[in-house]
Amino acid sequence: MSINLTINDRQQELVCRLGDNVQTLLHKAGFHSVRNSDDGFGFAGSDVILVDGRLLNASLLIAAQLEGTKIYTAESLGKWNQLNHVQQAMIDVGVVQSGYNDPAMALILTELLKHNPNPNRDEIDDALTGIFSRDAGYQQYYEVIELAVNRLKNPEHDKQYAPEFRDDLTFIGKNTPKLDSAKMVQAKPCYVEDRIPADACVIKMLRSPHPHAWLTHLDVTKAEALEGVVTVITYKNCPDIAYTPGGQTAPEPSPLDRRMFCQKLRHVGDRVAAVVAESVEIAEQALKLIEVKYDVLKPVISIDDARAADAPIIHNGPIEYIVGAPDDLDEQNKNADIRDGKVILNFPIGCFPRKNIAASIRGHIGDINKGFNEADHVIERTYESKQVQQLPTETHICYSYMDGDRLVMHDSTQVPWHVRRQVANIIGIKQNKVHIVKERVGGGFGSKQDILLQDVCGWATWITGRGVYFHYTREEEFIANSTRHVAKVHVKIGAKKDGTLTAIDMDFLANTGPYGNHALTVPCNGPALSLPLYPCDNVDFRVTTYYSNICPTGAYQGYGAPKGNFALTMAMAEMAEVLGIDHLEMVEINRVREGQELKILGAIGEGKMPATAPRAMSCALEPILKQGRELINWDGEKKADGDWRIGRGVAIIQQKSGIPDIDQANCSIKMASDGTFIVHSGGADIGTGLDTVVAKLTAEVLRCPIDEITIHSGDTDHTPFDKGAYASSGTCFSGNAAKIAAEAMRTKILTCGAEMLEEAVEDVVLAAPGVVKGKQGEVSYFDIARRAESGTGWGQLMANGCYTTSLFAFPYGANFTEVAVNVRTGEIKLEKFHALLDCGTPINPNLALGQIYGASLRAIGHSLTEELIYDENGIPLTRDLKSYGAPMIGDIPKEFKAVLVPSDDKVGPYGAKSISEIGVNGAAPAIASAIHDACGVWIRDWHFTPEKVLEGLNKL
Amino acid sequence: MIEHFFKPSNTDQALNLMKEHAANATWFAGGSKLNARPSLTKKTVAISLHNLALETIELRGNSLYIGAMCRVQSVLENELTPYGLKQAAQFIYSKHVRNQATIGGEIAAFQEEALLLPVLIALKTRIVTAEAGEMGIEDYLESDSRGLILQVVIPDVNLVCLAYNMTRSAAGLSIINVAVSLDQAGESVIAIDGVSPRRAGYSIPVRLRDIEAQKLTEEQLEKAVANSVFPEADIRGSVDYKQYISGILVTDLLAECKRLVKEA
Repeated sequence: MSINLTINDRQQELVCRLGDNVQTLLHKAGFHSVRNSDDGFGFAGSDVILVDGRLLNASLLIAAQLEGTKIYTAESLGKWNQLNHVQQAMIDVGVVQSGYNDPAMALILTELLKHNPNPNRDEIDDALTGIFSRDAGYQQYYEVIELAVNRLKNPEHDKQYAPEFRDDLTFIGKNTPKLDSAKMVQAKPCYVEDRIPADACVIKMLRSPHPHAWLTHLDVTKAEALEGVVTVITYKNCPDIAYTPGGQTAPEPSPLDRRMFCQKLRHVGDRVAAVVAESVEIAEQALKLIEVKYDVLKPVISIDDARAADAPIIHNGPIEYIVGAPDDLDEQNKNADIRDGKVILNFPIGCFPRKNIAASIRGHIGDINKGFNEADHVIERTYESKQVQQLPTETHICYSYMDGDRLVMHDSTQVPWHVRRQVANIIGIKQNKVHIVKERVGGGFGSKQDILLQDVCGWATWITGRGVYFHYTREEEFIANSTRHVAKVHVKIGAKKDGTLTAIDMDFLANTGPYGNHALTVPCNGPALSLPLYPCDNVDFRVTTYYSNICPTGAYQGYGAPKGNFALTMAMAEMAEVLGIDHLEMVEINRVREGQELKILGAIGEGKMPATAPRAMSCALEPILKQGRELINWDGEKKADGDWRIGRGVAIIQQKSGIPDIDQANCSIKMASDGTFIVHSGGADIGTGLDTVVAKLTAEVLRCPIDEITIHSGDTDHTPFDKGAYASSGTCFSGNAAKIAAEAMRTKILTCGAEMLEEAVEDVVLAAPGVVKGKQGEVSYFDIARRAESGTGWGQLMANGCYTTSLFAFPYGANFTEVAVNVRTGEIKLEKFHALLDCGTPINPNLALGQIYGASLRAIGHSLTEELIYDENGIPLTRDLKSYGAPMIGDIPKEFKAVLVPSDDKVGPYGAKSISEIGVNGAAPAIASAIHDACGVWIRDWHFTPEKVLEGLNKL
Repeated sequence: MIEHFFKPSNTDQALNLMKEHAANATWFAGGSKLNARPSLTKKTVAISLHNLALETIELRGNSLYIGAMCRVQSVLENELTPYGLKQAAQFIYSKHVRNQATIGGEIAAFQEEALLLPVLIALKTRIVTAEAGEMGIEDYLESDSRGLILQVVIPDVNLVCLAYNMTRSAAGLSIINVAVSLDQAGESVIAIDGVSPRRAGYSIPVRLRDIEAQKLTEEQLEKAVANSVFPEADIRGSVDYKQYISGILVTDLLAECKRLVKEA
C-alpha cells in the first residue's frame, strides 16, 4: 500500500501499511527529527510533527491518518546550514545539551511564535506541556523565546544571557556556541539510531517476570525455527564469563557477578533469552514461541529483607579472588551452586555474598566517643532515599557489525574504552579486534556508564556475522537499566550549644539490587561527598551495600552524594532546631573553608586509599552563602496566605572533578596542512559540551580561532585512551589532557617558528590569530605547516598530552529554596529554587548554567515526584514516564535561578572545576528543610508528598 | 494492527460499515487512545469519523452543542466553553494530545483516567448518539456498549461549575479528579473519579447524590464525602489519603461555587 501526502512542502508517496506507526515510518524515511522516547505513550514529545496545522505526536498516529495531509517535520526549519530564528536562539542561549528532543522543541517554539509573537509565561508553559526536557530543565527556554522574539523584530538583536569570566583570557570564561549544537537542533544524523541500515537485524529480549527465580525449563527451538530468526541466545549458549556491568577503570572495585545470561534470574526484567531477528515483528513473534518455566523464589526487596537471618541468598555461586583472597574462602564456598554463576573479586572490597553483602567498608578519624562526650546535644536520625531513574530521552542503544575480522560498534555510551575492554573480554577476543564509535549521546546522567546491551549485541554480531542493533524500550529503561541506589542512612551527630559539631557517626546502608556494579563506590561517595562539607575531628562511618531483587542500580549523576548529603544536612537542620540556632548560621559555623585539610577523605578511597588527606584548594562557599542569603531573602518575612505556609531551606554541596590516582585522560593534536588543528580527544562528550571545552582550551593555548580546531572524540580506534565521562572528570581530566597536548604543540610550533624566523626560541611567542611572532617578524601557522610537511621539513607537527593527578578539585555550591505548603491539602509548591555553584573558572558559562538547571530539575523530580515503586511481591509498578512521575515544565520552580560564583583552582585547566554532577546533590535536603520551616513537619524519606505532609500534620 | 481504514461521509454509511465489520471494527476519531501503546487497539478495521462533519461548536439558547469530533484543544480555546470544562480540558496535560483527542473520544473510550468525565457529569451533559438519540452522560457511561457519539450537549453554559485534578506531578497520574456544579436554586452536582474500584481497568466517576441532597457545614461536608467514597490504595496514595483529600477538594470547590453563584 502507499499513502500520498505533502511533507515539508514536497508531495510524496510513502509505501507502507495503513496501520504503520507514523513515527517509525517517518524516521525510516529519513526524517531523523521524528524520534522516539516513550514508545507511543504520548508523553515525551520527541516525535512531534505538524499535521494540517496541529502539533501532534507522530507515534500516536497511523499512516492511514496522513492520507492527503500536509505535514511538517523539524527538518523544515531553516535551510541547509542556515538555522531559523528559534534554532539560532537555542544555540546562542546554550540550551542544546544532549539534543535528542531539541529538533522537536524547535518545531514547537517556532509554531508558538508563528501564532503568538510575544507569548507570556503561561502561554509558553502550555506550549511546552507536550515535550520532556530531561537535560536542560526548561528554564533557559524562556530566554530562547525572548531572544527569538526580539530577533523577529530586529534580526541584529543580540543579548548575552550568561555572565562572562576571566578578562585575561580570550576563549575561557566566554560564551561559545556548543560545537555540535547546530547538527543536533537541525536533526542531522548524529545518534546511533541514525546509523542503522534498513537490513540490520534487531535484538528483542525475553525478560523475567519474576524478581527471583530459577529457569527450570527453557526451549527456544520453535523460536529458532521461525523464518527470519537468525539466532537465539540463552544461558546455554552464551560465553561463560563473569563481569560487572559497571564501566569503571580496571581492575574494577565492583564484584564481577553477572554472566551474559544466567540460569538464575535476579530481578523483574533480568535476561532470559535474546532473539536476533530480521525485523521487530519477527523478533516479537519469536519471543512468544519460547517455552519457559520458572521456579519462583522468595524475593528480597528491602535492605531489611536482605539483612534478615533467613534471607534468601541472591548470589550463591563460587567466589574467587584475583588478589587478596580471605583465609575462609573455602568455607564461604562450601555450599556454592555453580548454576548461580561465579562472583569474582578483583581485590577485597568487603563483599560477602552469603550475607547478601556486595561491598562494605569502614573509616574513621579522631575519637568518636570523645566527640560525643564533648557534645551538649546529640541527635540520631534515619533518612531514606528511594530508587530513581536517569530517564535519558534517548533510550539505550547500540549497533554492531563486522568489518572484516573486526567488530565495530556504534554506541550511545559514556565509556567507549571500558565498553571495548568488556566486550573483547566477554567475547574472548583481543581489544584490537573491537572498534567502539561513540555517537552523540541523547542523555546519559550515569546510566550509560554501564555495559547493559553491548555484550549481547556484540556477541550476536560476532557469532552470526550480521549487523545487529539493540534499542531499549522505555519500559526496559526502568526494569533493565542502572538506577540510583536505595539508601538508608543512620546519622548521629553531637554539637556544642554554640552549634559547633563535635562528632559525626554515619552508617550508610545501600540496596544495590541484583548486581554489584558500583556497589562500593556509589555508597562510599555518600560519606565522601557529605562529611568533608563539615570538617569535624571525630568521625566514624560504615558503608554496607546489600544485594536484593529490585531492578538494577548503578551510577547516577551525583553518585552517592545526594543521599549522604540529604542525611547529613537534615541532621544538621534538626540539630539547629534543637539548639535554637538558625540552620544557615549552623552551616556557616561548621562549613569547610578554602585551604582546609579534609582529614576524613584520608580515610575514604574508591578501591584505593589516597596517600594523604586532600585540601579544599579552592572554595567559594563564603560568597555563595552571602549571595544566596540575599537572593532568597533568607531573613525576610514568611507571610502565610490562607492555608499556605512559606518556608525556606538550604543545603551546601560539593563534588569532585575526577578520581585522582585512579583515572587518566589522553589527547593528541595534529597540525593540518594549512595550520589548522585536528584534536583527538579521548573524552566522551555526552551532551555536556566536553568537545567544546577541549576546543576552547586548545584555542586558548594555541591562540587561534576555535573554528580552526576540529575535535574528534570518543573513538577507540582514532583517539587515545580516556577513562570516560563519569565522576565529573571531563573538564579537569580530559580538559587538562587537551591543554597539555596543546602546550606540547605550542612548544613545537615555537621551535619551528623560531627556526623559520631565524630567531632564538625564547624570543618568539604565539599570537592571535595563529602566528609565531618574533622580534624581527612573524610567521603564520599556515607557513609552518607547509614547511613541516615539505621534503626538507620537520614532519607533521603532532603532540600528545596525558593527564593524571593525585590532587582533588572540589566544586562547591548551595541550593536555597522557598516552598509553600498547604496545611489543608498537603500540597507543596516550589516557589523558589536558587542554585549557586562554584565550578572554578566556568569554561563556557551558558552551558554551565544549562547543566545546573538540568541537574537541579532532575533533583527536584527525585525529591517531589519520581519513584520506582514495587508491589508487595517485588514487581515494579512504574514502568512509564507518567506513572513514574517524570517532571515536566509545570513542575519547575516559579523562580528558578542558576548562579555561577567563580573561584581559582590550581588543579583544573585555567582554574576550572567540574559542573555536571554537583547540581543534583542538594535539592532534597534544601526542599525538605524548607517544608519543615513552612509547616513543622520533618520528612525523612524521599520523595516528599502531600500525603506525607498530611501524615506529619496528623491529618490522616 | 489496523488493516482497513474507512472514511464514511455520513452517519448512515458509518453505521452500515460498523454493522458489516462489527467483530473487527472500531470507531476511529483522533486516534490518541487507539494508537497509544497502553491502549493500542487490536481491531483491524477502523471506521473514521473524520468526514462526518462533527466539528462545530454552537450555542443554542443557553445550551452548548459540541460536535463529537471537536478536538479537546478546540474546546479549550472556544470562548463559548464553560470555565469548568476548560479547566478539565487542561487536565490532559500534553497540548499535543489535546490537539489530537476529541471530546467524543474522551467520553466513549474506556480509559484508566477519564479526565473530562467528572466535569461533564457536573455540567449535566447530554449525549447524542447515532444509535439511541439523546441521553444523560451517566446513562451513556453505564452502558457496556457505548454507542457512536455525534454531539455533546452542555444544557446550561451558565451553570457554575469548577474542577480540580490532584496529581503527583504536572503530567502525572490523576489521584483524585473532582468536579462540582451549583445552580441558582442551590442544587449541586458532585462527581469524583479515583475513588471507586476500577471496572475492568477503566474508571467511572462516582456521583455523590446523597451528599448533594444534604445541607451540611463545611466540616460536615468534608467528613461526609470522606466517608462516602471507597477508593483503593495504589501507587497514587493510601485509602485514608484519598478519602481525606476527596472531602477537602469537594468542600473547597463547593465553597467557591457558592461564592460565584452569589456574585452572578
